[in-house]
Amino acid sequence: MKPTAKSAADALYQTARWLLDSGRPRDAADVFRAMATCAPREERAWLGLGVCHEQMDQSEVALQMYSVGQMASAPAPRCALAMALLLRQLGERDELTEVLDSAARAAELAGDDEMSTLIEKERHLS
Amino acid sequence: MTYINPTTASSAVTTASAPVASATTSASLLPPAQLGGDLGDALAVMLTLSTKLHAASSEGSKAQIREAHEQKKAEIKKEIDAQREEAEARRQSSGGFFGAVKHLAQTYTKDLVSMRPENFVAPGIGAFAKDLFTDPATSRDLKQIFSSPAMRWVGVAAAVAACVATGGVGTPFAFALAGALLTSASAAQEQFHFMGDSKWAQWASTGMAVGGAACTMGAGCGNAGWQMTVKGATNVASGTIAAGAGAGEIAAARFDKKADDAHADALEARLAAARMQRLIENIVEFLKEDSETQRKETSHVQKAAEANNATLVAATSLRV
Repeated sequence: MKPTAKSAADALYQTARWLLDSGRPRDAADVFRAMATCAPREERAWLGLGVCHEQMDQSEVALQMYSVGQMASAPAPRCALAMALLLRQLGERDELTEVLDSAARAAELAGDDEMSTLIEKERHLS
Repeated sequence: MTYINPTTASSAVTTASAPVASATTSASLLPPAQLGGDLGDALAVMLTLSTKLHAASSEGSKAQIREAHEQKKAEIKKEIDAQREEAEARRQSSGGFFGAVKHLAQTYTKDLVSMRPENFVAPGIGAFAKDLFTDPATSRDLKQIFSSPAMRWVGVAAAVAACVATGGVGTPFAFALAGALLTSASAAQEQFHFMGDSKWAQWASTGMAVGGAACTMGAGCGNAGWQMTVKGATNVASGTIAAGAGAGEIAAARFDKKADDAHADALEARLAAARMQRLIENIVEFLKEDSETQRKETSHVQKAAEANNATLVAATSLRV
């Protein structure tokens, strides 16, 4: 079978997700990083990297990954929402509203109703 | 669309219309792994990619091994050629015992050496000479015999002539004859001092004894190292033995520069071959470790598939 870029990205995501679920964020980050290198427009790769760094208590790095993900794989409502959640967790409320607005716009652009609903929920909680 | 969040404690099931749970985390935002469909293909791709990666690495290593083998073969051949060249250089060297014997003969027996060598190879003459030197019954007369300048060096000359004549042919008889004569001459010198009492003569006597033994050994095993080409034998180059030189130098061969260089080349080639061998061993060890790594990675991917299958089952059972 001849591998395609998408199938390779899916395979990498599958493996990285399994590693993350197995409690191995450092190993998962390596695979997510490889996925981001192979497919930089894949939102899942940047989101996964951010999640890994959060679990490794590297919040600043996670925020950077979410930011890069929003630029590289725009629109990226999941990265935007993940960034907002992290900012709230860190107590950075000044930027929280702006980021949530950005997430809402991204979800609307992506036509992702599920994410739009989730973002609205988080707005109310904020 | 529904999905399962496997990372949160409370697995929240969401639908397009129902509000999500408040415990939303960034991890829960990760979409689930692809369910059904081409999941197997994705894993197959992963395995294929992994195999291709290791195959490329393995091929590269195998190519390195092949190259190292060829280089080692070349180094070994170089060593063999260098040793062959070294042996040839020694053989043709003007040094060595026979060089010293030739010098001795030339210096003290010019008149006898100029005679045809084959006249001294006849068994009868050889036996006569041997008897002369070794038979105790005639020893009393030997001193008188050796007082004659012409006869003084007959034993030595005969031995040299025999060696010269048989150079390149090396018949065992000639070697044995030369050996007997040289040994006898040495004994005669020790007993009668017919070569005089100089320090050089004393060393020459020892050299002749060694040469006698060597010739006998050459006759016994036909050692080519003791042979000389006729051309080389007749080319009386400067001997390695100067007047007053020690018996050890008479008996030992001295390498000329060509032999030294060949020896150095042989040593260098031998060391290079050893380095190649170590490189090959290191590459083989790397391949073993690489195979083990690939086995572990394949195991991870397979476990990922098994975990995903379990997730798929769980998701199917909880789907609403």
